[in-house]
Amino acid sequence: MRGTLAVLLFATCTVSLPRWWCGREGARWLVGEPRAVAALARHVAATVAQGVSSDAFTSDSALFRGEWQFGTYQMAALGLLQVCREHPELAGELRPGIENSITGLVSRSVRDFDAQQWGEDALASLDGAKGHAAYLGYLNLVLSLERATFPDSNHAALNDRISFALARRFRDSAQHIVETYPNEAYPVDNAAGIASLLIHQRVTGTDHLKDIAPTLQQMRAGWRDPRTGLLLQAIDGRTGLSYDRGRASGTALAAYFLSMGESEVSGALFAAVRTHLAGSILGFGFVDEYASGERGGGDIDSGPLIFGMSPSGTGFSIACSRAFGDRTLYMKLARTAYLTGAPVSRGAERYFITGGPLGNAIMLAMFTAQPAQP
Amino acid sequence: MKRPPPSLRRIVVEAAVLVLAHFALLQVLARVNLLEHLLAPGAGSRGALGITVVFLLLRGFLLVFAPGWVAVRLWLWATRPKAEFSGSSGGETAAPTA
Repeated sequence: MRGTLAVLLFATCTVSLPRWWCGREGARWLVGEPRAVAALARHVAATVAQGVSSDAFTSDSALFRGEWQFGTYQMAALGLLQVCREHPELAGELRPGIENSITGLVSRSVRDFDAQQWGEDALASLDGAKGHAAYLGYLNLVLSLERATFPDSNHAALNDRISFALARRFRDSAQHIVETYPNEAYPVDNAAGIASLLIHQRVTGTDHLKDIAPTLQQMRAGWRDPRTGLLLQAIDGRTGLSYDRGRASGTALAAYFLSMGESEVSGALFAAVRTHLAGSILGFGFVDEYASGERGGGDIDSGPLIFGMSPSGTGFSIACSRAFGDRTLYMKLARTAYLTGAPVSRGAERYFITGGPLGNAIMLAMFTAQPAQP
Repeated sequence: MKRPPPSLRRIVVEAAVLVLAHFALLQVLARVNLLEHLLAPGAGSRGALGITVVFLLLRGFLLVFAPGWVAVRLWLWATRPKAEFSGSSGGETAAPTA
């Protein structure tokens, strides 16, 4: 009897206490509590104010280090912009951080990773034909959202130029996909460009729909795994054929990007992730990188897989669950983020110690994702 | 030979050591950019990865399993048979009832 009660006590404590303790912070993030949001936003703003060097990253690949430097500024800008949209009272404090992020994004040193791959600078060749889908798409998403948030934006002219360049590249693409690097094309990178054009269209009244409709249709049907509906990770830009499977990291990030501009395709992508990849143990949520019955390793997109669980897919799904109002999944994933992220406070700032500059910028963007646009 | 049940002092001290070890590692790791090591380990990532794995295992145990583990140890201590009283020292004050 004594032993049975001990087992019951252990089970009761293990099922109830960790999910409560680790979910306290997620509950504050879910409702957008200003103190919780501002503390991480301040940390991210301070990081971009100091500047992010590619030398801060550990990968042996110069390309990956450059991508992460770029990604840090991009996610920082998106996160800070989302905070300003939800809490206009913080805009005065955080807008310099947004400006610092944009300054970083357009700096020559940050553009260099893309220029090295293409043999030309993306901003100096906007009238050209080469893709630059990731650099231009991710940057323009920030510029469009910044313009939608601050009507007095200083970057409207650049936003217009990149928007028209991207729209033309979508229109001229035989397979409706714009290449990220020579002979490399990724639907998730195109999703960022599409979202940027949808926001640009909403803000300026420019009609981009005829240029991007074929690409959006491919994301709706053609580039989806027929069994799961997950977005195919990579497409051959010359043939239009897939050379990777539907995966969590690409699908969830594409759903997050697209949710800023529309809700139909992004909602379907998120539904595929939720249905086929999301799970939980003791109230701690996770997202697998591959659907059941498929096996594969982790890579630079997903991070190292732990029993198939995808760090990137799990993080990006936090944004999707907030954008689409899935409170249950948001809380489960937020508990996991608390457990594995280990947040600490320093003065007025709070940050995840396992995050670093990139991880904390991503987490700010994910936790503060705004409702999907109709 | 049967091991004597842990004393209340030992239960509390072991739980406190667990919390302090976690806090100390937290402070150390707060000064290292870990995500980059995790996503794409470089040539100098081995040490950081090792500490990170130890920290995450400790944190996982502390936050998920330790509450139940400590509760069970306290339960077993509080309900220990009378014959074990003399074997458990450490300043216990509560008299067991079972």
